[in-house]
Amino acid sequence: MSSAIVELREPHTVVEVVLILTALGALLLGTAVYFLDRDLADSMLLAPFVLYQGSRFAVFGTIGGFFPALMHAYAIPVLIIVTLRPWSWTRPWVCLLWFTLASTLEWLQSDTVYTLFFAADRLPGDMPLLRYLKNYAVQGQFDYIDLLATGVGCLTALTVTTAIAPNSQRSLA
Amino acid sequence: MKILRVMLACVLVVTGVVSTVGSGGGGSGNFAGDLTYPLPNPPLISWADITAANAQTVSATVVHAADHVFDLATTMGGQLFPSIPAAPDLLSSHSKFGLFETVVVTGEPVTDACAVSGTVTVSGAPANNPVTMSVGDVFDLTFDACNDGDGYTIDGSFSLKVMELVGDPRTDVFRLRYMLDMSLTVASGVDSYAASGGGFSLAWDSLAFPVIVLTPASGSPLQLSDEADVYSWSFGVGQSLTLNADTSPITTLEEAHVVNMTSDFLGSTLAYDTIVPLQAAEDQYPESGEILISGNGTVRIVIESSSTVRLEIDSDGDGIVDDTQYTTWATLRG
Repeated sequence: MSSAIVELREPHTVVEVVLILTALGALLLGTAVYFLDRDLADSMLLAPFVLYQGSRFAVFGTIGGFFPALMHAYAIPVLIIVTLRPWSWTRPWVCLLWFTLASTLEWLQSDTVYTLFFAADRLPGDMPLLRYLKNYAVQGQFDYIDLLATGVGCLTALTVTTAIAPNSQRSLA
Repeated sequence: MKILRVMLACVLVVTGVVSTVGSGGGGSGNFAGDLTYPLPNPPLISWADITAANAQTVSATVVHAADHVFDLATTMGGQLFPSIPAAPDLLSSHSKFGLFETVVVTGEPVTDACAVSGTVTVSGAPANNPVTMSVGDVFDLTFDACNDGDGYTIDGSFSLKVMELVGDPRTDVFRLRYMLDMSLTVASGVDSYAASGGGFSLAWDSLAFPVIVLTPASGSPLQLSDEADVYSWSFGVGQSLTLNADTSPITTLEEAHVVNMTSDFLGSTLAYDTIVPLQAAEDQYPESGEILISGNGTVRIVIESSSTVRLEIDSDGDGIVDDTQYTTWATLRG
């Protein structure tokens, strides 16, 4: 009986499903913070549901402050990694890319950006996209804990995808 | 297949960015269960020096600014939320809103002169009914240096889009839901102040009155709540105005917390915090309340009565009052 290492070209169905489920679960948990702990009116995407929001309970307590960032930073890279192949090279790059992107978005909420772009209305015109971005930047708060949560989320995505699907090859006996 | 995967990955990236921005970033500075609206980061600023010599000027600048903002809020609030018996007159009682009727009938923009100078133009896109408003109608008020003799001019736009209409707003039976969007600059000739709010929708049900439901559509800081005849309007960040129509005369409660204000006049920045809400009867000077102004040093405006205001000046910011001066609200208001 011989053995060989062959490139896996068919989908890793079970592994993919498990990863997708963990990502969706993470997104669900992150969203729960908004519905249970926060005022939906503070969230542009969830504001339309504000009329359906009942009492808020502060279920997540102090961790609710950074939990959505953590869950988001885990879920998005995992979904992208599952989408792209081969996994061996996409894993670190996707996690790095998402950490960079998410960190930039967090940085948009900092004093520096406020002063540079928003304090004196330096952005041109009244484009809806810019208005949303300005709302995001002005109303959000830069927080190192969110940055840390983003890093931990991306690192977790890298670790989990590495552990569950060590590489894009499998051994065939 | 690879292209499809890359495209899907791009969609995921965009979705991730949109959900991050749309949710407000996922993080919150409000730990320990504090669920209030997060305040913006204070900008890097050049604080004004506060001394005994300029305390009255500093106080006057803040009072002037606050007065204009609240004047504007009252004006806008009055147009949006007239007293209950006047509710059906929304489209006709106020001169500027009266222009809506013309636009609805003709479909053409209407420009009207403001009381003193400048103009206001009302344009719109009435959908299909030539007589009444209908769903989809969009009305824009564009102020061009509009001066109604209130001591300031208004520049900017104020839009209204009808989202839902049941019944006739000119009768007592209607349900109206509309989107509002505003971006206004108010200038007094000395300083200028900007008021803006992203889109938000407002539902007004005359049968279930008082039921006014406001839904910010874009994380707008502009919010409204209503309880019986007490209207509370929050705008900007940490600013609010409460009109109590239950009392006679109507009382007004003004609050503005931790607001940074850049004054062209002073050439630097002040922060003011209404630590005790200002309370005033309709069209009267406030008779109580306290405002703490901070810069390099502080001055506390203590309103003892409608005719007496005490200024407590702490020039070095050590918490000890260095000087006390007396003035009047009328003097500060200028």
